[in-house]
Amino acid sequence: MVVESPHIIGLVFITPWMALLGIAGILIPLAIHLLFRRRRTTMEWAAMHLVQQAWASRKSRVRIEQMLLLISRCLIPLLLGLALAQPLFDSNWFSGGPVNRYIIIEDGITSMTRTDSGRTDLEDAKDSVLRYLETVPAGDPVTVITMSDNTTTGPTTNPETIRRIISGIESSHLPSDLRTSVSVASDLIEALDDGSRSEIMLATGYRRGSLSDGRKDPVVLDGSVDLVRNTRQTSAPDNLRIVDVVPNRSFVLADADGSERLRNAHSSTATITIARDGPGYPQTSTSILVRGETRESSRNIEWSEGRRTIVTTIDLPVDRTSDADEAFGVEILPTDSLPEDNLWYLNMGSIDGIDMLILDRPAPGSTSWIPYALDPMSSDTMSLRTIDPVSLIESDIRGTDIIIVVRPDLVPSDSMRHLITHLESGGSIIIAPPASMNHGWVDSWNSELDVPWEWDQQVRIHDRPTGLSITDDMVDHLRSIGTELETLLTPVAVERIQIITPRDGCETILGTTNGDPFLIASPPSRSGSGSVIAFASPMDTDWTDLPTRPLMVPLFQELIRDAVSRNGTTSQHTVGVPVESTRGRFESMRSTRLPIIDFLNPETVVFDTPGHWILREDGSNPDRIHSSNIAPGSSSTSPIDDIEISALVDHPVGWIELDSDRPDSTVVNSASVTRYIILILLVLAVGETVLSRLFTHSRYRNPGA
Amino acid sequence: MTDPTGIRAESYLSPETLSQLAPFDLRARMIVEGVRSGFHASPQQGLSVQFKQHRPYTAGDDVKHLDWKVYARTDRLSVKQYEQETNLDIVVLVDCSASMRYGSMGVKAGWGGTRASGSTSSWTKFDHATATATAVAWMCLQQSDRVGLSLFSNGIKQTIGRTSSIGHWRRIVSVLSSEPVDDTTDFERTTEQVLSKITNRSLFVVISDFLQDPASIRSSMARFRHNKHDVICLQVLDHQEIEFDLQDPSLFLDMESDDRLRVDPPAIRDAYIEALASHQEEIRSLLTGFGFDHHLLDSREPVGPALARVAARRSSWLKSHHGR
Repeated sequence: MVVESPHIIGLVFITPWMALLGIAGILIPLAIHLLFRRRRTTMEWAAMHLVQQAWASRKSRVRIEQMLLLISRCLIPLLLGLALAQPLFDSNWFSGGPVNRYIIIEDGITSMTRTDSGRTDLEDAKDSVLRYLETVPAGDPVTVITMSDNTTTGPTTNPETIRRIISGIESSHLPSDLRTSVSVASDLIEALDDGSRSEIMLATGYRRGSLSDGRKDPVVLDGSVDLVRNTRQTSAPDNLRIVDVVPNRSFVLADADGSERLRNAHSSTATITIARDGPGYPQTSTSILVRGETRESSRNIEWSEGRRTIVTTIDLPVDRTSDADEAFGVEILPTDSLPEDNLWYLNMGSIDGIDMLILDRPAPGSTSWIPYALDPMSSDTMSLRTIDPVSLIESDIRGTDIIIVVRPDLVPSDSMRHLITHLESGGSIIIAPPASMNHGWVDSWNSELDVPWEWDQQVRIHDRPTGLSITDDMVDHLRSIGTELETLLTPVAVERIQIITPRDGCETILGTTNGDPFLIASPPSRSGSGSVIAFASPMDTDWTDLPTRPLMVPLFQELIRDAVSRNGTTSQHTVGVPVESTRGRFESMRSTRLPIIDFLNPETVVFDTPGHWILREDGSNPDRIHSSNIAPGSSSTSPIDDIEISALVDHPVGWIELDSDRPDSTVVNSASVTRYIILILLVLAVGETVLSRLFTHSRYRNPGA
Repeated sequence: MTDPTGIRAESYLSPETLSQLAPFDLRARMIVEGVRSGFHASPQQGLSVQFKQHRPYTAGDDVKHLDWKVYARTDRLSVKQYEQETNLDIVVLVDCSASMRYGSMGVKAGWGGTRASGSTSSWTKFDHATATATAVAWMCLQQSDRVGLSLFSNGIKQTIGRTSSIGHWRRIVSVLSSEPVDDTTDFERTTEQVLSKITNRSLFVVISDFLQDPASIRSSMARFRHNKHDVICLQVLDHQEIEFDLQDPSLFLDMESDDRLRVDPPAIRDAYIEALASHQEEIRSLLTGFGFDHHLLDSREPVGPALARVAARRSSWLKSHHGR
């Protein structure tokens, strides 16, 4: 909270406490005066009638002289204090009321962009604000809004305080939110509701990253608000940036024996999105360097001319001999005008193994395809149990990562609560319908499970088998086999399918070629609940030949890993986005810097810088590694055009450019008032000396008596 | 006069020096000695020399008394006849009112001063007045004049009859050193009391600060004039009363009444000096109007030279009025 500078008869003080000292300084001559009055000596005098005559003739004059001296002596400390308080002339005192000014300054990630002059956008923005402040009449309350976190400082009428605030602003890794900042200023203006005029001053680098919120609706402002902005950046400096790096899986299965063969066989991958801004998009190459804790990998990618975005896969050099989480740094070279977005922090969790439970009662003579599909996994890291659904008890699901329900029709209604408990504790369930044509089980499952779809009792039988097709949601779930999936899907035929009606939030991973959902999933909730994945056909050759196709094994393997990977809370975070954390505290792996606690909601933390973080459950032992990175797209340095700037607001006039369109202001600066006071002070000091000598020293040095 | 300490007599004439001399009579003798040493070139030997008339020269007359100017004009030898040939009555009136107790010059504790200065350890106007009075008395007694003394304030407080005996001087000294200094000043009453006892023509030496109402002084002096007495007024003022060079704001208490006033002296100094100058001018004009002498004595200045100036001016006056 900034204290407003006091107004005194048209003056505003930069350091008001000095003025208070000056006022207090009046007490000094008064105290001396009173002290001397009290210290009067007593004198017996013979020529008393002469003293009485002299006093009678001089009484009025002496009193006036003493009063003048006392006033001048009181004015000296007062004026000295006023001069040191650096008063500013408040022109508003004579001409209408003050104008409420709101300065929105760019301090997000793009404010670090270095222009051709070698200065950052923030430095340029600060300069433009300081130039703007020179035109602001003293007495106008100024509020500063920083664009990254929309923090408001002020209002204050003290120009020195405002300059100090502006000078103290530093770039942050948070994304700038230009539109929201204007909206914040608009809200503040509305809250005033006093009919006074307002002005919004926008100081930004005009980078596309500052409009990363993606909204289009303008902020409505009426004509009582003037809009001023600094000169728009029209150039886009070279900026190669990592938009996003998404590991295909958030964990690796630890290999206790750590053989070289397994290590090489189980490398993990991530999908990296790289974009570039600049004056041109020439053919060039970029190096991607991935540093693990013990190993590193690199690769080059080639930019064709005109290309602005590349999405590719990189290998994460996983050290599988360790059972601890592993941190990675992904760096792209060469560095450029905004090096902050050339580094991405990534981590992989490590789990000892995946515990799976199959609820099935195989019919005599039938084949259990699903265990076959999962069997090829390493026996050290995967465990697979099959129990009859009827015999499911609570202890069966304890420690289980995935429950695969092959016979949902046999799950007693009492056992449904165990499945729900499993989901709530972060486990996932894969459901395949039974091969029978009786699907009365769907009623209880539709009602018990909170999933974004509805099973239908109807079964669609195709006259001709249909194939499977890729959907948009597939990429998120089957990323590791994404490049081969089309080939793997081709031979698969589906003859029967249970009709499933998806609702909002349902993710269709695979569909039939005629549009029916074949494999759907509910996303894991933010509260930590696991996901539910459902097949529309049982793994039965009467329904589909998928079990016999090459897709079967990688599909189930990926589904299992994806489900485990997506379960629970994520360990990849975005700077500025609150993260719920009730289990422990985060510590930076690079420094002692802690994430910021949101005091309005103490159970959330906000990462303010990119980096690797350790979540200490009990405050001492490292547990999980977390990573935080700048918001995707927030560092785009491409300039936004005038139309987009205008589209920020719905205003009768729009933005006026500060340096070219705005008329000069007639502001009396601080020095002028101070100079006048010092001049008066000097005159007063000389006057006091002269008066003092004139009044208190007799002009008759040689009496003629 | 023999200097018992071997120091030149002049050095004893300053008040600072006099105040160090414990024997009161010694101070007076020192003053007179200083006056004499300053007068050795003067044709006049005393204050009481007064021209009376010419008479024809007869054999046996001292030729030094021949008036050669008359001889030049008339071609006849004439001899000047002076009143010094007969003893003159001199009455010294010393003001011992409370206002005479003021003094701004400090002295060492234990000096043998008057009762006025004993409590203040300062050289008061009364001290200066007594030093002057004793010196005058000594000089007059030395030339065989009859000298009397009266101390007065609101009336005559103490009187010593007139006599020309040298031993009489010790009585004068004794009275001056022991009389209390207080009460207000009443010139008219004092004059009435003095003139009721002295009928023959006398020379009155009035030593006072003359800070009283000029009207009362005028009335008194008129009585002296009416009775054909001659008067020499020696006005003793303290240096601080003349300069009023005080710096600190003070509460002024009247020494002869209950009047009091808070004043910042520097602020009224010019007005005070103007008032004093006006007062002095009034006193001077009224005294000279009666044909009396008026001399201001600064209590910080040596007594001897001041007395010498008084004597010189008086002889000058005599010469101008009697052709001597």
